[in-house]
Amino acid sequence: MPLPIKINPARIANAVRSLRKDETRRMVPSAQGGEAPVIGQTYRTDVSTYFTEPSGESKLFYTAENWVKIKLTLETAGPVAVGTSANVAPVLSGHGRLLDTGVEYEVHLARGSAFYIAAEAVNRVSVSIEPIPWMEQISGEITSVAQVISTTVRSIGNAIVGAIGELMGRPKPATTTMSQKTLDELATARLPKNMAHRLTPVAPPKKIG
Amino acid sequence: MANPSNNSVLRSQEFYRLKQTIRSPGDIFEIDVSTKAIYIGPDSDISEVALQYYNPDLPDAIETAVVAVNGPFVGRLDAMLASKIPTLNQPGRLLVSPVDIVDPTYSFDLFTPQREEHIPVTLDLMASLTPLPDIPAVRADRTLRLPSVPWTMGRTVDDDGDNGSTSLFIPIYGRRTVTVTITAALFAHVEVCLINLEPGTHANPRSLGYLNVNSLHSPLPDTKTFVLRASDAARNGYVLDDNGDATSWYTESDELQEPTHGGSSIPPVSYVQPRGVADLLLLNIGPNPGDSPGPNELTYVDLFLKLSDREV
Repeated sequence: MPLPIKINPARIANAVRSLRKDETRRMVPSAQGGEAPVIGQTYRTDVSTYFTEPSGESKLFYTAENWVKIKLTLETAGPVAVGTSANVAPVLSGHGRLLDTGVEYEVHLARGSAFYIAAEAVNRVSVSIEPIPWMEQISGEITSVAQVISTTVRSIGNAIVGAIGELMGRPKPATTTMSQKTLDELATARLPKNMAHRLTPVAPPKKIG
Repeated sequence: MANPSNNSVLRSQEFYRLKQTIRSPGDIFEIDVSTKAIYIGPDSDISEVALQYYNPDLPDAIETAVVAVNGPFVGRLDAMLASKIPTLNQPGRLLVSPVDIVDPTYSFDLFTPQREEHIPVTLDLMASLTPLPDIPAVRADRTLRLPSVPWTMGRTVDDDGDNGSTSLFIPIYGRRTVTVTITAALFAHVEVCLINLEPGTHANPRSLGYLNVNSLHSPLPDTKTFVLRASDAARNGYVLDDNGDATSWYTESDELQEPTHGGSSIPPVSYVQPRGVADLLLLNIGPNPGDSPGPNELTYVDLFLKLSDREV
């Protein structure tokens, strides 16, 4: 006798479609160095030239709203120090990394990282900021996908339990809570960002009988 | 006012060119950007400059380096504008000053000139903002064309206080070959001296003799040329004894001792001294010595000079 298990594939497809809508809704320009971070940067490549100030102080160069790859090339003599510490000054102290003239320096910045720069004279730095959209998919949005999958798995499990109970003459389990909330309306715990996500394969239920 | 060196960075230049006329012996210039190499530029009369930069490892925190025509400074020099030199409480800029002495007020009145003119001295320094694979000596040969240099005929020291001549002081810092061509419509007596300036004292010129330019078929002009090489000794002259009598003739001599001469029958000789390098070339253009006074009349000569760092 086939189990009365109902899997709604449309639910999974809708979850994927909603993810794509979030991407296209992000139309806000990306933040440049020194500006306050803007929520929802676009996945856009920025190419520009940055002129350092002869202040000797550590300046905020860039705040990563998304995962990005930054390429810096010092075009003059320097010395110019860069780093993720808010205090890369003094320039020659070793708190930051010195850029080499004519040598491209490439670094990946995770979402939320800040990048600082310091110099004691006017210098020219060519800048290229490239987004890494697939890192967003992995790190930031997999929790949404996990939510959909866990909900689906839970539904499948409940359907199995209910089917078994029917076979054994038990009443159907309630599908709402005491406060009349369905399972989908209950908040689920979000996984930590730095946890490596791994999709556990859903094992098919054992055949009974 | 912002230092012009910053503009080179803002305009994406690969070098900053410090090209200035030196106005006094104490001129100091400032470079506010870090450099990868510093060398003498193509239009420089100055052959040597001194660099001063911040070095915290030294007791007075200041290091110096001399850059010459054949000696560039290769390496990164940092302009640390945000750092203060402890002994001076000044920012760690790069400072540049000529090693060659420039004295626009230098005067030599033995020739009793009516006018003295100094050719302006130019400092041309190249500061490279990017690494250079090779830095050859880039100071170019300099050509000076001075048409219609005036001097006044008919003047005498007794009557006028000067002889109407014109003294030209031409910068030849570090040059090894000087070619001079003089064209006179009538005539001109040209005294030639080399001058090595000294700080704090009045430098005495070294006389190399004179040249007479005489137009034999006026109004056709006459042209004469001479070449001074730093390694040349006197080409020819008499060897004189203690009485000033000529005993022999030489074609070239490295004798360092200046020969004596005396007696009106002995012609003037070239001093037996190697030329060497000098700071200034003095050309005094005027009348023949002993010319009689007469109505003051301006006359002119055309000068052509070629200065080179080579002797070939």
